[in-house]
Amino acid sequence: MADYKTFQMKLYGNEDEQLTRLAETAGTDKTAFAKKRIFSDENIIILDKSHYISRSLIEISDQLKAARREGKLSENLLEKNYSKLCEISKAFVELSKKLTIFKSSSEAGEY
Amino acid sequence: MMSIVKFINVYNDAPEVTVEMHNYLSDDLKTDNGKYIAGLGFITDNYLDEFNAVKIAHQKTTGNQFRQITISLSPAGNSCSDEEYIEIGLEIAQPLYDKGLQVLIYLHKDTDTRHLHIMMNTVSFITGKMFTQSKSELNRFKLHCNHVFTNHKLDPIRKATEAMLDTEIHDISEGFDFLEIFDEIMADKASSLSDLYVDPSDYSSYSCTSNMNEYFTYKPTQDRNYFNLNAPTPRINIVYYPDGSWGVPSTFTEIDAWIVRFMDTSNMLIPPPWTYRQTRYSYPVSAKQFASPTFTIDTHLEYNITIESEDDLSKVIAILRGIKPMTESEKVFNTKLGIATEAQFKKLKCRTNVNVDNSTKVNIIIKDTDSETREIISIPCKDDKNT
Repeated sequence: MADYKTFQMKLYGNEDEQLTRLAETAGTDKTAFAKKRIFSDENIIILDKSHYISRSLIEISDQLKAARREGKLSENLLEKNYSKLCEISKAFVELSKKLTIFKSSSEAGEY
Repeated sequence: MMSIVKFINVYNDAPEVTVEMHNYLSDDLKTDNGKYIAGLGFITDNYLDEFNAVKIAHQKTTGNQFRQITISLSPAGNSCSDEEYIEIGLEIAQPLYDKGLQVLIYLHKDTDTRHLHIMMNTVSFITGKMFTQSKSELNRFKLHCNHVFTNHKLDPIRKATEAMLDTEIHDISEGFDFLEIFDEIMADKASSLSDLYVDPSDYSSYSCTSNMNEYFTYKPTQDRNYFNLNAPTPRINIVYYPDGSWGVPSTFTEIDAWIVRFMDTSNMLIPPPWTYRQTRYSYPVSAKQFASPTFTIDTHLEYNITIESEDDLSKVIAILRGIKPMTESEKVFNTKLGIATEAQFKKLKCRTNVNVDNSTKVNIIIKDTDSETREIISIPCKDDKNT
């Protein structure tokens, strides 16, 4: 059993809503977000809906690959689209390296 | 003989392990300069960064970084090209990818047996959840793999579902040999000799009748008196008799005797003409054979059609119509025998290559009236092939 202590915080007005929104934007939970905010000297960098961007990029890539297989789009158009997608993907990868990582322990979920 | 799919447990809490694992799996020597690497869920070939970007986007950067699966396709009857291997890897990985798990497939060509490795992300880019797998899900995955193998005319996974999971957790500080499941592949090959053997007491249909003093005659399909029903008859001698009938005399080659050495014959029923020739069991494999860099198993299918005179040549045509070249299943069986024999040699610490002769040949032997063989006409079949 991990050695830890609990702490309760009173939130007034829309503070709880704000914390919840910030944690959701960061893709983490309220505890992890608050702890990072309190104990880290580094600036917090959050990319809203980063998981959505990650997923969408892969899905667009799959769509383009499927279009190529099925010959639905011209090769020229595909090349242009794919080239642009690669640029966005590279930018996203670089940006992701700068994002704040909040969690320090694994949280396994289930499908 | 079977295909093997195994989830290898690797201690991989740290992202550096992912890098080391990928570096090993994508090694130029193993993957023909990276030619045989494929991915699902990647936009560029910057695999590891895209791998980590998904983890960071979902704030799941800790815990197991990846899962590794080793796939060894059954070598028997396996005519898959390198490209088809990759295709098989992609097909196997599809249900994992459907769950949002990015997958990398590597074909390794640097060992005796070509094999695939799959490294997959533990975080789903669709749900952000970590990969978990229940026993029933693993069972479904096994079934899926077997469908893929069957579609590619490969032997399926025959082991229990639990055997697809490695119970030991390995650390890459041990090296990477644990990924290659050498022992498991070798054990599978070596066990094939006993798998191929069926006690002849199971052959209730076996019959043997003496037609002439010097011949035992029975139907070709009943000549398989010590291997399973799919086994080929190593050699068939067809004799055309003066009364118009034709038959197959007994055959028992040295290689049969050699193979029997690896089998438990204590409870074997010995039907005639087995008894007649049982002294040949004691034939040892000569030291010369062991020292030879190549050991050839003569499983070629040979029809010797003996006729009394040229006048009977027209009757041979009727026999030829009933003769079939070695079937694909027989060739697969022979190849398995060769692979199993090679594994047996390795077990005996003998570095010997094993060749299997899968050719089909028809000889027409014409006798003159003095019963002396006058002429032999050899007719190789179109699909003659040495493996």
